[in-house]
Amino acid sequence: MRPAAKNLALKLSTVIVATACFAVISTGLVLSKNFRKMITLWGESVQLTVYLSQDISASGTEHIQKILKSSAQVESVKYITQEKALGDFRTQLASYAPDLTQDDELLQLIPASLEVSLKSSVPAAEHLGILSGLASKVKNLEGVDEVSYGQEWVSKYSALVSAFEVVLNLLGLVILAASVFVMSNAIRASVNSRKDEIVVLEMIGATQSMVRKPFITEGALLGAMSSAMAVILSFMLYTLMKNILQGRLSFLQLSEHMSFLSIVGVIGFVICGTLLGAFGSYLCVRRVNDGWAGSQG
Amino acid sequence: MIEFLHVYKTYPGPVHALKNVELKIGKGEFVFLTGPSGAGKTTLFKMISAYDTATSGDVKVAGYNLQEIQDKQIPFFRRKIGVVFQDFKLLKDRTIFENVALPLLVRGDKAQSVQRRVYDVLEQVGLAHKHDQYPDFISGGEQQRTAIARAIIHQPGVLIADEPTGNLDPRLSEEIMDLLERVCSQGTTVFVATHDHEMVKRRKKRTLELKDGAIVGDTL
Repeated sequence: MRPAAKNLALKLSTVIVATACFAVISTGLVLSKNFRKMITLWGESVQLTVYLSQDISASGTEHIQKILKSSAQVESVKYITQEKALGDFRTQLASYAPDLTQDDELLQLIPASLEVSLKSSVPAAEHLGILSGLASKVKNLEGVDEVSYGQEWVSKYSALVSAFEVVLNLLGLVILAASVFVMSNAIRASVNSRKDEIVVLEMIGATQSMVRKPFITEGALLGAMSSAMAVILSFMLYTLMKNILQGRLSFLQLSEHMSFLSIVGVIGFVICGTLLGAFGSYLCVRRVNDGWAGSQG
Repeated sequence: MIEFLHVYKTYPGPVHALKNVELKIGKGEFVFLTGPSGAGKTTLFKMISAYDTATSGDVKVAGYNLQEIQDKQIPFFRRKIGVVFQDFKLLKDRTIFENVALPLLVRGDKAQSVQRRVYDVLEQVGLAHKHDQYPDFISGGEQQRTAIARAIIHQPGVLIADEPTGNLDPRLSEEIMDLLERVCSQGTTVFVATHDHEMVKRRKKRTLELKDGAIVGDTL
């Protein structure tokens, strides 16, 4: 293989390895962003429902509403009349069980209710405690039939959020460390292949900055190019995933909430990639300039 | 041009690589350095080219006291000397022209004067017609002539050559020595380490003999 071709092959393999590393990181960022979004959305659906008895007076309803609203963590208390509850029930079940929605006797059993939503600023881990506190405040009041806040669901949701945060942080650290390691090895191989050049440059009187500059510039370019290509790869993967969710998995209704990295995020990612490439090259070049000793090897 | 005063060099072990070395080589002199492997020839050359410092004593080369030189001055000192290695140390992805031009480019010379000077030197070493070839595609003798051209292009005061004919056959070795003598005749101090005693005898030049880190002979 001619020297130029050999050099090109080595550079190409370095770009491929670096792109793969950056692609893992950028895809991880996109996944993390969307997972967080999903979890927040699920959190918004966590609410307390107070089912009212058929004979409750208007003042009784107001009294319960007042008690619920007095909590600092409560965002809203919405009164759902029996008529509205019936309407919602019919809409939701019309296509699945049309016969059921025609059963007037059964429908009379659906009560009016109060739907309590928490403020979005309330941490997911506190949902369970707050909702159970509110429930115990109102469940024995006159006019309250039943209180439900999906106890099991909320406790699972809180545990999921906590576990997700821990796993995400650990995984992020591991992927980042592995990517930096693999990439710095790729850059080191590239620098080592040019060790003779460094020895010669030193021997003919090149200053330290003259020796390092081309390598650092090359590292920065490698970082910029690889991170930009990684973003493109991640975007392709994201589009593919979104198409699958829109098509075969549309019932999950996840695709409308999905988003890619913002423009600022993309620019920041490429800048970080550039700096990482330059820094990796600097670390490698700093150790290679052993001059005459290198020539004796 | 080259002066060693009571120079000792000890490596951890301790290994006494050089012991009380005293030598003085003047401007325009041609000197051979001989001695068995491990005698300290490479250590001596490392010191002359500022790749290592003495444990004690003084080393002066081309007007620089290398015991007192600061790190940032070393590249500028190296621009005053030329170095030739046994294994040529040519950059394989650059042409003969580009290899020879390197010292002038590092010095910041203008492209036009670089081109003129490179062709002059390539003419001098008989390689002008191979300027666009790559090192892997020329002979060992031609590679060494390229290395010498690179070492003299910036007209150094001192040229050191560590076994420059070690990889060459006798005919090519004579060619290289002729070339080094021509360089010397132009005023450059030439200091050559070699194992080839026959050639040293034939050339009738000043010869220093190094053994176990000490100079045991000087034909001056």
